[in-house]
Amino acid sequence: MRSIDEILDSLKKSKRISSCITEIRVFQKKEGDYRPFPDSLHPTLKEVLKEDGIKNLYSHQAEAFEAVEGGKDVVVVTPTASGKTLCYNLPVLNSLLKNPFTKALYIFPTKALSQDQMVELQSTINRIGIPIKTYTYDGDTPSDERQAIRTQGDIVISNPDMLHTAILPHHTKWMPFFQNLKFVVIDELHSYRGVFGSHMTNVLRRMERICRFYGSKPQFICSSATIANPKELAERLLERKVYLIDRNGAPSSEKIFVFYNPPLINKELGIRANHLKETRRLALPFIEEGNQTILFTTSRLNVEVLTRYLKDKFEKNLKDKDTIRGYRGGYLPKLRREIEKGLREKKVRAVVSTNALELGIDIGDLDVCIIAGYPGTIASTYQQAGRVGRRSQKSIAILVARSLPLDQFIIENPDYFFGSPPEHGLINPDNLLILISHIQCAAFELPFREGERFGREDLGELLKYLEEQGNLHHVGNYWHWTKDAYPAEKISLRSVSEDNFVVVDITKGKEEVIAEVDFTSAHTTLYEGAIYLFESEPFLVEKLDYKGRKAYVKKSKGDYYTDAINYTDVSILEGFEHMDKKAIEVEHGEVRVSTRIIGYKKIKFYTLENLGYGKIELPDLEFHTTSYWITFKNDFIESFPYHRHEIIDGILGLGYAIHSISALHLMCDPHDINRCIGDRRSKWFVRFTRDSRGFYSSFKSQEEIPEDKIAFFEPTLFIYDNYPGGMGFSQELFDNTFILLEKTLKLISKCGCLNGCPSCVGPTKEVGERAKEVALIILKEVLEQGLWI
Amino acid sequence: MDLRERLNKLSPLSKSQQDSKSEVLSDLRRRLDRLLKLEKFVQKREIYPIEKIIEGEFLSTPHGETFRVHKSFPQDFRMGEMTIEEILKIPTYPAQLLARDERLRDLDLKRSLFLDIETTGLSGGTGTFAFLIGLGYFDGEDFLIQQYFMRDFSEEIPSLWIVKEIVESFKFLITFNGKQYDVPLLETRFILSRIHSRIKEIPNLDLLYPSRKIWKGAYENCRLITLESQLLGIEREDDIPSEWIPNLYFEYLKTGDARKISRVFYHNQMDILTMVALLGRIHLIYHDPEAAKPKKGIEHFSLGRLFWDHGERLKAIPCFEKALNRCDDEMAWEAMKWLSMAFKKTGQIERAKLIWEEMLSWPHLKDIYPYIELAKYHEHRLKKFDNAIHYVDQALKIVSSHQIKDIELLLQRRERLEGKLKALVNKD
Repeated sequence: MRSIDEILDSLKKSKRISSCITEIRVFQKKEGDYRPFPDSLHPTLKEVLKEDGIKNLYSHQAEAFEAVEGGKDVVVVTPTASGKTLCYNLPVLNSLLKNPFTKALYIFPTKALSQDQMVELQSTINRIGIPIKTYTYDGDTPSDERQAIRTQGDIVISNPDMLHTAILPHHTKWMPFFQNLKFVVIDELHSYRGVFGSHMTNVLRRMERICRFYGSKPQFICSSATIANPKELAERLLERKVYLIDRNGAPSSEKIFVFYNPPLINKELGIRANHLKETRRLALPFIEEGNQTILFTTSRLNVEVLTRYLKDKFEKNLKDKDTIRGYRGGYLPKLRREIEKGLREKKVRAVVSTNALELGIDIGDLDVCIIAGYPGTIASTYQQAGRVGRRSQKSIAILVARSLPLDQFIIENPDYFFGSPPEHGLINPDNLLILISHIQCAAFELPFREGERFGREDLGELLKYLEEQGNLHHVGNYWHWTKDAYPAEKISLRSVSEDNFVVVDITKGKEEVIAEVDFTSAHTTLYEGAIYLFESEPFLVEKLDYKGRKAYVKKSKGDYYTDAINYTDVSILEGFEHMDKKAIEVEHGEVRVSTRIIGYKKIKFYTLENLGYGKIELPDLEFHTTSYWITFKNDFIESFPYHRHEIIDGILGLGYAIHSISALHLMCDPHDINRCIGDRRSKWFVRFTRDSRGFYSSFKSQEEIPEDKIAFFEPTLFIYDNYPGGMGFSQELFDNTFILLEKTLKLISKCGCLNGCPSCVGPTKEVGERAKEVALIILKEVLEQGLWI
Repeated sequence: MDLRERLNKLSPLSKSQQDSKSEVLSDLRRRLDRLLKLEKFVQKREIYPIEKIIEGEFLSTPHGETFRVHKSFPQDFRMGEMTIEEILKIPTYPAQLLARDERLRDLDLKRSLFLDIETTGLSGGTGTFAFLIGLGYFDGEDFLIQQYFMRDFSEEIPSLWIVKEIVESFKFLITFNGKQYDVPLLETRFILSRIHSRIKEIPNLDLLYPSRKIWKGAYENCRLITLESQLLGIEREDDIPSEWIPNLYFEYLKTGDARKISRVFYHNQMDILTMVALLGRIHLIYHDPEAAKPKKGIEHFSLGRLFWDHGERLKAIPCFEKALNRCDDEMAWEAMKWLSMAFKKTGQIERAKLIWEEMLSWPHLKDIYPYIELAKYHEHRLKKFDNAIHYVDQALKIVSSHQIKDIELLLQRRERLEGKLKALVNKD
């Protein structure tokens, strides 16, 4: 049987394959850093650990234990498979053994993760032999069991949504639990960023109020994947000082990390070979040689496709049935246990999964991990790669890029990936819309007393505002909730306003809600005739009930996607910070965004041909948010030997690229931000219409402004938070302007296309034939002149 | 830009494409005007305070004041078809059967408290406030209703203290949906006010459950108001729908005008009186099933089931018989099953057999029950094993192929019967 090294070598022998490899990095074997069991660890726990073959702790487990015993709030940042579960289970169980009245709340972002934790925790508890009652409390918990859990649960495992709508608004039913709550465990802390994280901070603020009411002050034990700012994120989420433990004491075997970029097959359009087919080609030799392989892809559809490819090859005979398994989110626990068992027992040779990482903790140690499509963040990529690596055996992880700008940037700039963590988790818990939603929930839970604080805004003003709206009543020293409805029910932790649209699938004749889209995005994705992508599968929007906030969709068989044509204006309301350089002026602040959606284009997949147009009749969208903008000064622009419209093409291309780079840096989805090119005084903006190439006009008049007139305006590129109230992204972008511009330059310059493509500056049909050229020159000049004033 | 302006501007607005600049400005101006006029907040003008609309008294406690309305109903007061005196005289239905709670065995109406509350929301949760607590009890020969009303949230604590004292002085609680709604809600209010109360521990006879058992299928729903008008024949004068109540209270809080909210007292009072009448009727049923006013077959059937579950087999039989006479074809099979089983278990096997034979010729066979019973009858009573086998075979013909368990059992029965037949033949 060939070793992993040997297989890799033989792959490299193929010129076709080796020319696609952009990086091979070897992580050396690492010894573990061990500590003896802490003295204060209960003897029963020591016994149980020894029974498991654990004779001592890793340094970070010991450190976490000591810190928690010392009363600190802790965040542990270590990779997957480093035994982080013990970092929280040990202190919690230890405390329970010493004081049986201790209660703990474990919060996981998804139900599946909660259920897996249960299994692990329960088996440890069974061996301790003391009745510690552990339960999951989530949407699946049958109602007749809920009362018992509330009154008797010692460790309750739940998720943020459940906490938000079911536990906190009914806290009197949990009185003994809250009175004795000693620990709150928050796993996957890095997933609480952006909108979700901003909501989570507020949910924790509400929980803190309730704990205070019952006289408890729980300690927080958190675990996070590696990001640039785990301590900062934890401290912003929990609003308290947090002790950081980020030195990993677990041993690891040698791991080879390979970056693979499928070859360009059309330089004009920037089209690359299908990444799933390339993935299969790479996976085959490893699976053939008996290496257990896990493959990750970015959507359910891709899981199915890749699974089918592999089954075709490996399940030719009946006896080979189920040696290749696909795994998607939403599988019942029974099936998940079955697949995990198959992996542990080596009966399953390869498993294909979505990014969801819902595969449980115990899948044994695999040898090969192939990641088809960049998962969106460096942190998740490492988490996926962390699924392989036996203690003594070498393992390999291969990242295969798609043609999206993010993928291309990562694969062509491995130093970015392997260098110090660049991703920042950002939240804005005091976004006014989010804050005020939770103030309502908090008022429902416990009337606000005068002089209380909640969030960083003036609570008194906000309470008065809510009173005016008829939600609260002020009497004595208290503000009481005065609506007959439940505030938490209408608030989704994943969107900013309450006005979400619901996507209803009517393909099978009956109505099935498959997704929720926030108000802003709905205008550009749910118009009638739109192709809405759900889990990468195309659905056609047949009918939009705007007032009822419902979009009715059917599975689409078409080979095209749609792109809304909209006019967006950004008016600057207030600038917060300002930076004046020779070539550019950079600022961030509050803006008003006005969007008019006038129609849409139908674009064929792959060839990007324009197949036609459609009209859209939707009300205009207007909202206030925060934005970042770069103005290219006239003197600077005039210095180039290009026409004004060519310069603007270059800026369009630059904008396209910087949008992707920003999403990368902000660790957000590209849809969380949006961009627009225009002028600081809002006199003109670039518009795209049926003919793809831009022209210039202003919102109010819609008349095309002739080219010679626009020479007087200084082109400004706006990148704004796509949520009313802002998410705190623009400050971060402002602070990192030059890093962003540098990376944008790298993305564009390393792209193998001729004049521009969707992987770097955008399709040439939209940005013109010179966009790439001009964008490069502008960027080079700006960076060169950069530090000069 | 101040907080309020920012808030007003944040909600994503959708404007029609015709919106002109001037409209935007005037909208802004209106908002600014409102901002400035803010200080002229609507003060509570106490022109229609509660005490001027409804006759009641203010009680002073160390925690504050509360408003109480107090009404006495003499023993000849009629609720529907019975008077208070009559209701008190009916021997109680074994309450521990109605509610499956042994602690209710000694239910004594004179030591029971009827409880009904009016709140600011129907979903429960800690933000729901009980602004009116209605308590009813027998005092000597009369029935007394006390209603505690909170003019504002600040009057909750004094009211709760008084209510707690009263509640804890009674041995039993009687409610309608109180197990799920009224009692947990009051419990929540006690906890939030940091008052320790034993209300959860007091045995609670929740009339919703026995009502559902008895009148399931009789009326369009089992709401108190439905039973009140259709079963008890009581009409309310100009009552307010319960869905309006929360908003009427919120309006009262803002304006101080108690005229609309005062109607809630009547509503609450009627709810309590109806509970008394309903309880009386339920007790009556124990002695006379006709008191349940069954009209349709299903109602007789429900009564039969109720009595059967409570071990009152002899009471159940006439109900099943009536059910069979009056029910539709859908129900008839079930009724025949239960009636025949009732006969069998009360030693009236021949009558049972007649029904089983009747079932065989029924055009809508629902299951193989009569075949099995007849097979058993012929096997054990008549020792006619060949007949028994005949019935088993008939059953096997009817049963569908995916009822694997049934087929298995039938085959087992057949085998056993064949064995017995053989033995008998060999003996001869």
